[in-house]
Formats: sequence, structure tokens, C-alpha cells
Amino acid sequence: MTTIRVVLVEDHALFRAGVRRELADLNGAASTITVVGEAADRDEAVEVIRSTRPDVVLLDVHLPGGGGDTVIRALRDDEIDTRFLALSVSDAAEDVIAVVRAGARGYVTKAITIEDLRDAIERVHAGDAVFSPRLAGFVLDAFAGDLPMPADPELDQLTEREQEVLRLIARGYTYREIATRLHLSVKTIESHVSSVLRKLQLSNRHQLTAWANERRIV
Amino acid sequence: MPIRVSLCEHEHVARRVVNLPTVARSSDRVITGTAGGWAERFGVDPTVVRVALALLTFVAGLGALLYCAMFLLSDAPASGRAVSAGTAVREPLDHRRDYAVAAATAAILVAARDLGVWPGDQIMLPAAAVAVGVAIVWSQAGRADGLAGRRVPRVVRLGAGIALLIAGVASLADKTGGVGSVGASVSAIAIVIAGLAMFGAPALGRILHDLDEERSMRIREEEIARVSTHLHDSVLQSLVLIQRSDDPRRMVSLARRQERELRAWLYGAAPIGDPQSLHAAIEVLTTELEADHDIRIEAVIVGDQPLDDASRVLIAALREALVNAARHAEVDRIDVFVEADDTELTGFVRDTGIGFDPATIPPDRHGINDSIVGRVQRFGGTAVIESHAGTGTEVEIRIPRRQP
Repeated sequence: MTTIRVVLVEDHALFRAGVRRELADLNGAASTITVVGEAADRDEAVEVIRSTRPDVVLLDVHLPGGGGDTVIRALRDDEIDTRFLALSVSDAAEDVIAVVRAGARGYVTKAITIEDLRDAIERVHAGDAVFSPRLAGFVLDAFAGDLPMPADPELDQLTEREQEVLRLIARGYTYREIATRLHLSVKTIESHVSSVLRKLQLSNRHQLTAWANERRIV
Repeated sequence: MPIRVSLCEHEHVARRVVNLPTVARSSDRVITGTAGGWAERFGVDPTVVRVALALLTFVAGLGALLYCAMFLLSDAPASGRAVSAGTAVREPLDHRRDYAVAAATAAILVAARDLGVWPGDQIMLPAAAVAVGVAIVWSQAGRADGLAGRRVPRVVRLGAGIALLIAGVASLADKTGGVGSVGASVSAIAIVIAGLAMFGAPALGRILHDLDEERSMRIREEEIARVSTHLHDSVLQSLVLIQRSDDPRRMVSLARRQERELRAWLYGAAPIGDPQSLHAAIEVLTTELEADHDIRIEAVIVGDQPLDDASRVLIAALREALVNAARHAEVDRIDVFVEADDTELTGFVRDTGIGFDPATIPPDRHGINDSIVGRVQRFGGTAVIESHAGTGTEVEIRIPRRQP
């Protein structure tokens, strides 16, 4: 049985306490999730993650002192094997995309059930991407329309299959349900989603660059 | 019990002493209500106090000084209701006090004349005549049992007052140039106009005051009606719903929606429920249904466009599908996905609830066919309902965009 060490970065103490307690209540399944640290703002987050070196960080998109993306950037040179999962209420697409482009492995909304959150933490820990319906919608929006002259066709466009998978995620299907529906394995679905994540992080598509630039100016 | 009696007496005295300096300015006012306030406090006719102050002003400004002192020693007027409720200290009206004030004023005037602080008989005598005339006319106009009491008929009092006023004004005019040469004398005209104004002032003032009061009353009533209508339609309804609800989540969502509405109403935000775009309209729809049906709706919207006929049809169909899912699927979460591109609008409503066999639609769900499928088909679109018992239901709506 693996133990997943988690840090909660979130400025609402009540929400942190709730997540911590609910995650603890769920333990006893395939893995154990232990909350090893908490932080309420950007600087504290960087410090706590450096000192505890957790497996997964649940990272709020908006934090006092800077967005979740600045936390990831601050830790880029630390060579720690920590994965980030963005978590927030319902933020603007550009904020969420900025955190994912900074390196988060996925994005879930706070309305998520604790079982789904646990599942998402395990998935991110295993190196997979976690797309909530909302993130799938954001990505479809960001990649909408064909570029007349894509700088890098491999990165700047989603394949038909990837779009199909994203639409099903946006409609509320789980990876397993999508696999059944498309007569594919769950592993194949996961690899499609990871591919989308890679494109999201690396593509220089016009909108994505614009968003990233906007973030840097701010 | 002699001790107790003496205690009571002390208390009584103490209360009188404490109460003495509190004079509230009156709402019955000519300038600041100061004279009215002091008159009410000591049971004197306000007109007598006003006239006395006006006359004493001729004596080296004594009246004006007294007025200032009285103003500084008084409090802001209590609100109208509080005064009439009897919270303010006031003595009953007693004409003997009026005469006392009049006599004291006369005594001061005589003393001033002897001391030489006197503008001259030819000014003061007519001024006194005008003052007494005004006192009689104003208290006649203001109250039935004013200065002279009921024993003197009203007509006689009015006549006497007017006669005194005319005599005073005429002789003042005579002193400043003579009634005979009125044509050239601006000051005489001014004095005559002032004299006429003195007749009319109380009645005119009362009419204006009444009009003002009536208008502000009407505005207040309309405002109260408007507010109570709104509160009845919104806040009261929500409070009733919250009381009937046992589920804290539902209470919270009702309270949240009501708060949003109330804020929008109070602070003039854009009216809820009047969205301009497809995206905004879906947000409004899901917020409303979340509150009404105690359910979480996860809406993902890709692309956007201004509200047009096609998007209105889509929203109406989505609403039906959502309400159906909320009522029958036995779930606490519904997913909505809407995508708007150049060629069509697509909408999905999905739940993972109990589902049903579309071949055997229960009789109470025939509505689905008319309200979703029929509505969309009439607009040239398609609606497909896919459901399996035990795994849930998904409604797929496709509406072509009409090319302009």
C-alpha cells in the first residue's frame, strides 16, 4: 500500500480543515493519503513544499501574494519530484490555463466530491493528467478553430480523437465511461488526455501565448 | 415612614432640576423653532415670545442676543411623533404666563426708554402697534384659543389686530416720508408690502406646510408600497421556503440566491434574469435550477454568441431536460455541456441516475417528447434521448445556426 504525502495550499482555513478531515476519513483503500503540510499564501506555500517535499500539492489558483502558477515557477529549479493539482471554485479560463501551463497536472473545481478528489490525487501521483469537465471546456475553447498556418501542427492542434475525448469529459463522463463508449482501454484514454496536457503546456498557439503573456505582465 | 416620604420628595426635586435645562426646539417654527420650543416648554403662546423678542431687538439688539442664547441652550427638535407622544417636558398653556411675558417685555421697554437705549418714540410706538397686531392676528390664525381666549369673538380680535397693524404700518410709512408722497417712496411701499405679508404669512405658511407634508407623505407611502411588494415577491417567499426545508444545503442555496437578488435590487446591479449572451443565459438558468431543485449543475460552455432564436430554443430545451433529470433521476449532480460554433449549437444534459427504458417512457414523462424533441425539431434541429435503466440518461440537442 502506497502512502501519498499531500500539501494543501489554500487561503481558506475552513476549506483546508474540511479537505484534511475528509481525506483522512477515506483512508484504508488502495492508498493512504497523508496531509503533511498546509499553506495559506504564496511564500508560505513555497517554504512548506521545499521543507516537506510532498508527492502531490493541492494548489489554489488564486492565492494571497501571487497566483498558483507563481508557486510552481518558484519551485522549478528545486528538482523536487512534486506534482501539482490545481483546485479552485470557478475561475476565469486564463487563470486556470496559466496554472496548468506552469506545470500543474490537472485542474478540478472545489465542488468535486471527496471520492473524486481522492481519485484525482492518486491519478496525478501516478503521473496522469486530471481533467475536470471545466478544464476540458477551457481547453476546447483555447484550441477552437483551425489555425491557417500552425507554427507547429503537432502541438498547435488537437486530433479528432483528442477533441472527442475532451468533449466527453466536458459532458461529465469518467475516463472509464469514455473508454467503454469509444471501445478503447482506460490506458488509451489516459494517454490521450496526457497528450492534450502536453500540448496545452507546450503549444504556442495564439490564445495560449496571449494568456501566458498577460499573466507575466500582471 | 417619614424617611421614605422625604426620599420621594428629594427624587421629585432632583428630577425637576435635571429636566429644567432640556428645551427641544419646536417643529412649529418660523426660523429655527427656538422661540416655539421655549414657549412650549414654559406654557406660553409662541407668538407672544416671538413678538417680545422682535420688539426687544429694537433695544440695542437685546432680543437678538436673547434669541441666540435661547438657541444655544436648546436641543435639536425631537421627531414629530415623539413630541406628540408626550416625552418632551412641557407646561400646559396658561394665558397668565402670556401676560407675564408681555408685561416683562413692556417693563424692559420702559426701562430702556428711561435709560436712553431707545431708537425714538416715532419708531417704537408704531413698531409696538405692529407687534401687538401681529400677535393678535397670528395667534388668531394659528389656534382657536390663542392669545385672547374665547371670550372675545374671533371677528373682533381679527378686526382689532388688523386695525393695529394698519395703524402701525401707516404711521411707520408716515415717519419715513409720509403716505401722501407714497408714489416716490420706495421704503413706504416696502413697508406696506411687509404689512400685507404679515396678514398673509401665517395662512400662507400653513398652506405651504400642509402641501409639503402631504407630498412627502405620498412619496413615503409609494415607497413603502414598492418596497413591500418587492420584499413580498422575493425575500418573504424565500423565507417561507427556507422554513419548510429540512435540508441545510437547500437552505443555503435559497439564501444565497436571495442574497444575490436582494443585492442586485438594492445596489442597482444588472437585473438577474436578463442575460445578453448564450453563456450568461445558461449561467442564469443553472443558478436558478440549482436553487429550485436542490441539485448541483456542472455547466461547461465552449464558445459564446449573442442570444438569438436558436440559442433561446436551446436554452428552453436544456431547461426541460434539466428539470426532468432533477425530478426523476435521483441524483445530486447533473452535467451540462454546451458548444457553440459557426455551424450549430450543441447541448448535452447528462445524469448518472436511475435512468429508464426510452421504449417504455412512463406516462408522466410524455412531456419530454413535446417539450424537448418537438420544440427542437420545429426549429430544424434534432434531440436524442439516450437512457439505460441503472446507468443514467443523456439528452443530446443539436440546433443548426441559421446563416445570415
